[in-house]
Amino acid sequence: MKMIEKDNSRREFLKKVGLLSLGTVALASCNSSDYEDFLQQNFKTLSKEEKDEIVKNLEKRYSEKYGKEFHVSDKAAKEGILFGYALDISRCVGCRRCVYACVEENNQSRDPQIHWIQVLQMHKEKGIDFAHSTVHYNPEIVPEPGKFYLPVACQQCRNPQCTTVCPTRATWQEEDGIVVVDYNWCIGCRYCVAACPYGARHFNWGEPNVPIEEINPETHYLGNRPRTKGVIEKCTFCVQRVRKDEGHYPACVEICPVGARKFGNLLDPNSEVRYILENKRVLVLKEELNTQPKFYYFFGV
Amino acid sequence: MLNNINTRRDFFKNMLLAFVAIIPLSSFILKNSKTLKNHEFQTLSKDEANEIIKNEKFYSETNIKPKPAPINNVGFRI
Repeated sequence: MKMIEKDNSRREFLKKVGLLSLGTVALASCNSSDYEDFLQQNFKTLSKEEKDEIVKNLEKRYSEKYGKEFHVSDKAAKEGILFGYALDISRCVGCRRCVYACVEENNQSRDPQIHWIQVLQMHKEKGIDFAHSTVHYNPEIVPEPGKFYLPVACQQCRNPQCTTVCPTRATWQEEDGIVVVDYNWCIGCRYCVAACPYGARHFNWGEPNVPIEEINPETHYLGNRPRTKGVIEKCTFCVQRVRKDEGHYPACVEICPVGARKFGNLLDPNSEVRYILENKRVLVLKEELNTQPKFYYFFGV
Repeated sequence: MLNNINTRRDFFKNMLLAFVAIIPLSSFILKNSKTLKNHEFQTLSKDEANEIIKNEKFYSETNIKPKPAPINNVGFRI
């Protein structure tokens, strides 16, 4: 008769002890903030007190790390506001000032580069044709003859596909229409990247690299606070600016040298963006997908 | 004696009623969705936009040096 092998040998015991001690060392090497981040609830389910505590801890942590006084806002959306954006294609010259203003304002990684705005150069004779567009144009002077420019960022859809595919509900649309990401809950599955038809979501393949002297300390929890490797990030209409009581424009709107970008409250009948919607014919990208963007393109001419 | 209502005839009658009810309901939903869209803004179709672009109906007199093109950009392109 064949004897059953005995598992409880001294060798097995020592192997298990070894594994156990390795696990203990790995756990001990994590600091308390790692545990806190891991155990933190989804931002939407947190109480005011919990949010305040988290924000305070983050401010302390970032201030220590970057040597600057950090402010992390958790300001919620205001009632009666629905943000919308309009871009005049006939005015845009493709200078990419918006791209770099966005990078600086929103603490986007410099190397590897992450750009929330992509300015596509297209041929006038081909019209809006993504297949033949390029973001890598680099002439001495823009606009180039026979070319036009189409800046594309998150379209802040009313019917966003990116939020519905998220398995952890780490991304959602706020009451003011801004689609945000809870970086603590993002598991980096990149389903949203695949779902977004506008290429507006960007994955941090490596640890984001922002020079300390260039970091913007005015942040929002759901916006431009420093991100980590393995999470998704996207345009938030500069949530840290537009939700301020005094009201600020997004960085790209402020920097645009030709005034091609307009931003405002779609529910306010006196807003600039509402005026455009009521008086101009507007184009939304990939209308057939029924994503219902709140980013409108128009021709000022 | 109670009438047996689970007859085939009753079933078809109910089905017919359901179909008749769906028609006005769906047209009402469709009408409302269209109304909402048209009230919000006047859309420009892609073909119309292309026509404006191809006919060069706009030209910018601003000439400016562009900021550098992206390098090592790991972002997903549209």
